[in-house]
Amino acid sequence: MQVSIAGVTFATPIWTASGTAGTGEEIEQWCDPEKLGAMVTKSVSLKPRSGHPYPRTVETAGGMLNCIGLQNKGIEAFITDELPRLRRMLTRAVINIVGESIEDYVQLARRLNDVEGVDCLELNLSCPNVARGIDQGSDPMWVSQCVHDVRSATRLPLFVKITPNTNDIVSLARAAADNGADAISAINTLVGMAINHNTFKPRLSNITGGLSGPAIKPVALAAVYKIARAVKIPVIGIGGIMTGIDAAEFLIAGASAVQVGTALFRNPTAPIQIAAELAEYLRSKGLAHASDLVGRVAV
Amino acid sequence: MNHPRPAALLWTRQVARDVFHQRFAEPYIARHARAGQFVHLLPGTRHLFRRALSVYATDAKAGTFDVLHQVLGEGTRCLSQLKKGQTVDALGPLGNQFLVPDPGRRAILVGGGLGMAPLRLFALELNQKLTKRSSRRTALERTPILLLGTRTSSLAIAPFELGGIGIRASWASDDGSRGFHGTVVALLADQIADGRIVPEQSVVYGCGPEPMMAGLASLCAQHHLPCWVSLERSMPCGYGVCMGCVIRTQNGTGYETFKRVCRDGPVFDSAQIVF
Repeated sequence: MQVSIAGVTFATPIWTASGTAGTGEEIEQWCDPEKLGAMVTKSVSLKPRSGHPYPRTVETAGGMLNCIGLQNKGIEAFITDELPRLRRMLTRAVINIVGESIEDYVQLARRLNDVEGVDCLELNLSCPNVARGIDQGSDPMWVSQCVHDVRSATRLPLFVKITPNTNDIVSLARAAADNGADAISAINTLVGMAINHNTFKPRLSNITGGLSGPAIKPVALAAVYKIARAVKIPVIGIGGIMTGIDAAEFLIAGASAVQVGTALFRNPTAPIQIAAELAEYLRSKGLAHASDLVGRVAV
Repeated sequence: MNHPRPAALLWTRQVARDVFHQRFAEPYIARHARAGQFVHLLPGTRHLFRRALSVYATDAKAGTFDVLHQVLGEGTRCLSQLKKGQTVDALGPLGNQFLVPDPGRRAILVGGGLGMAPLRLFALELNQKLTKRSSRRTALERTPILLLGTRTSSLAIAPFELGGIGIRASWASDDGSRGFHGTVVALLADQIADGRIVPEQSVVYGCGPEPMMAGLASLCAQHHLPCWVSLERSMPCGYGVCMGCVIRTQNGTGYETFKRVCRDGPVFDSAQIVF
């Protein structure tokens, strides 16, 4: 089940998705870290962020909307309080960073370049719940510049998480790949809304939020399929993966690894179960490695 | 390492309109759950998320735990229609718990509607813990005062098995059909005013709808009466990772502005909360 991306080996291709497993403290009580391919942390910003008021989540048909608003301690408290535990955890630590400007991303990357315990960086260029999160992230020129500048600021393997809220996700992936990204993480959530028909009020405090869960799996699969054909770097598939079969479909579409998000809210042991189911699927197909599936889509 | 566990339904009793008392067999939760904690139950495979329910009763020997819930949507309806022997996927026990009052203080339990459930378990815990010789508590300290509120008498659900340890509830109803005419917070104010409850010798533990918790917090603040509230939120994960079930705290503007009800709570010092 081992996979290798950007020269880093991961015990399995099943990782946690950013924002769905905190920074490891909670998940450690439910999942053996050695069985997790990687722990991708909740986005960390330069300064602490309070996030949006309640209500921040709502269950929708086949999924959920969230508008957490990137609540996090900020990079300095993250390095002091969270990184030592992540370093001890026997899994890969992928640190997801988020900024309001390119300069923010560069500063964050530089800061994390100098500390121990960081295996990879993932740039969140796609948060739908903060001002300019999507506007910037859906502009290929901006993505090019941002990835280029971050690449010059760090030696760490660099994953770029892009937004599906665009008419051309492939251009965003190309912009990242052409400027030194080591992998593309796709997709982040889709902008959505829910309304209470009795009160006429939006069900989320921030009015709109990001849709995730099984409802977005077909959208994510199509994105992974298209991106994998367009770029030479690995793709990390994200979007509504609940079972080992779902994970297999993403690998077949062209993903080299996947991240499990919403499934973790339903079941804290989801990544372990999904990895076991994927291993069983591979055996049933007579395949020795997860990588044997990657990009095998028969079109 | 903890994990989800199958809990088998033993029985369901309807105790009021749309309100169900259910007992499940699951030894781990039965052994470990404390008053104030909750279980997170997946009603069926069709549902994406679990439903968080306070633990109402436990029996460590028999390996059972009880919940009390009102049918509010598809998830709770599905739970209420489970057949004997069917299992639900259960996480728990989750969250923090009610803590025993400092010596010299008596527990005042203030429940609104189904908020009575965790207080019932706490009343039993207090009785057990404080009866131990080592606790050196007076008979008064061992016997909490229980104030319960309901909209009307037909919706009033009496906690079971408390009579046996000498705890009788005083009722308040919005329409005056049972006990004191008014809210349960007004009943508490009344009992403070007439000296039956002495703030310097009391600690309040509240659970109920949020407006009631806000009223309770404000009354207790006026009387410098320590007050713990158990809060309720819509909870996708229940174990602290989704950051969905937050409550605003008095801690200014940074990361600590919002705390998670599922993991930092559900029991909070009411003075820390912005209602």
